[in-house]
Amino acid sequence: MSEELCFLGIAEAGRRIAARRLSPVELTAAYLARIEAMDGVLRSFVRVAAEEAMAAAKLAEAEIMAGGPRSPLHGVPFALKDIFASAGLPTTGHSQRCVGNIAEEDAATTASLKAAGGVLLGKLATHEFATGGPSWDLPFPPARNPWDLTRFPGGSSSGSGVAVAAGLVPGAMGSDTGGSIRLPAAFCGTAGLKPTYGRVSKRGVLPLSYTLDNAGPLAWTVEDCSLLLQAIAGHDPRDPASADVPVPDYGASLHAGIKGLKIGLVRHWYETDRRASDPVIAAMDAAVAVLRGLGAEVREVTLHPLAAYQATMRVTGAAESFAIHADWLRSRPQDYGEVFRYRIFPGAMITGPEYVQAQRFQRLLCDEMRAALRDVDALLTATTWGEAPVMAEMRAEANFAAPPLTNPWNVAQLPCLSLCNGFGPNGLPLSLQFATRPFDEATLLRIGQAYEAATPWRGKRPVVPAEGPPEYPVSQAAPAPAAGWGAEVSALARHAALGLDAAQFAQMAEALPHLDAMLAALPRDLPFGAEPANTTHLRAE
Amino acid sequence: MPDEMELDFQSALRVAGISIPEDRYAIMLDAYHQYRKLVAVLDEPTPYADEPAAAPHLAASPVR
Repeated sequence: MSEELCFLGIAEAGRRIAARRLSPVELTAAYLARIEAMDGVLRSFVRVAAEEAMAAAKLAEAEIMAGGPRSPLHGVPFALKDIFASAGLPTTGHSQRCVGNIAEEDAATTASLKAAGGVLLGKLATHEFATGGPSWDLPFPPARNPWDLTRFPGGSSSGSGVAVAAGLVPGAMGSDTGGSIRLPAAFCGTAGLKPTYGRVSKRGVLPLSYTLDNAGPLAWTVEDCSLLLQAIAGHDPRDPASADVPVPDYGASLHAGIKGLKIGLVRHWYETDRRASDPVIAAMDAAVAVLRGLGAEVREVTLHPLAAYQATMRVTGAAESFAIHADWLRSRPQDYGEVFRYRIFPGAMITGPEYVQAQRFQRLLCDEMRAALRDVDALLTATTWGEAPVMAEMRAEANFAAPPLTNPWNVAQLPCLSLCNGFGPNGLPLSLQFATRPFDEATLLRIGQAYEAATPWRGKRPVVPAEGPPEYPVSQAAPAPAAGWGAEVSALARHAALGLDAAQFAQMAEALPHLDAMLAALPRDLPFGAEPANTTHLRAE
Repeated sequence: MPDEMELDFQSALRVAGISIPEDRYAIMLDAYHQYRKLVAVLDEPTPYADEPAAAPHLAASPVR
């Protein structure tokens, strides 16, 4: 019986709790028992707050018995990617640097979920500071994909995707700078929602890129995502990027269907810019047929090539990430893992003018996407190039090389929902993404709900083996650079005040050509009036 | 023998792909010294919760 409770999902658990047919204490105990039984293999939690969770569940039960539930989340467990602060618990960022970083205050989202009556089960695995992973040289091991323990679960919200898919928690918070909610959602087969930039407060969340970071939920169903979003959306005057835009009732239109809606399919991103696997393309074709069957009009839309979005995202993200970590990286590089250093050190090489060019290009790309959304209600594309890759074959370099299909929605700052749209030949989930206009998460959820209800993909959960495969740390070693290029890199490193050891120097020499290619992809001939995407907005006193 | 700052200046020129006429070198090197003093003002470690002054702000869609 307790196993079944772990697969109810948020909405159904909330309904049973409201009807007093389910005890929050019983539900929380069921999840804690499942975590105890399975997470030794999955490694999705870096900290289980069992005592605190049981105390919160008992309190919720007493409150509900006395006055009824104050929200659909009252008495329902949730968990946090370990970059979200929860007062009294460490916020580690999965990094040695922050193992003793005890939060004094809840993140805004944590506070909202607790205020709604949610029961915090614990903190979830991430890539180091939401980018450096999968890594084997950190205080905690990387999370494993519950569909196949040898496969990558996606990142950086890896623990969130794994725990939701495996039924260890019904909903979790993740963050998304270039795809870090939607990729683990895709590879683990869950739903993942990146809200509009500014829709959900980032206060109390360890930053990766101030301009691109978003906080959002992962859950098994669209309805569960909508319930989590309802609790966390809204203006936070203490977050300078927070938007003061009213929050609608997401449940009101959730089941309205999509008859008559226009959906723009961005096919060239996954067919011609770079070709996805045949199963991905077939799954996308099948999804289009489903949407048309539901009464939507689907037409193809052409936007800038994927590489333009990748260049904008990477240049902005790398510069901002390096700025956040520069002092510590220069003085105590050993406190970070190898993959993090590999990805963040090149940010030191981005010049001020290059960063500004990326910001100017971001506004143009954002405008182009919004113009496309004047003709259609939503955009659609694939989330990944295929099934989850084998972890033992992954190197940090791949992060620069392959353009993620998720980057465009961070650059355009639009709300985006990734959903399972089938399974590949190895039985692993495939995924699509819908995106809508700024702050139109209601339409996004409505489309996702209609698609989800019309397809059978929510009926299949992973079967987790009792034992995991052996660990297989992936070498990030790079070959020593040729003499001429080495001298060039040496000059660059000197100018950036980086004291690199031989291994880091070789990795930098390997990574820099990828960064150069992205810098070259930024336009050089922008008009004077092309303003950057990030500008200063003042509020009247 | 160039000092540390001059070596760094030469690196910066190389990174930027700029060459300087010989008669302008000394004055540009001095200007670089002054610039580095300005940059040093920004070199205070800041907590990661300190957000930049500039942030993206989206308006709701004009068509809705």
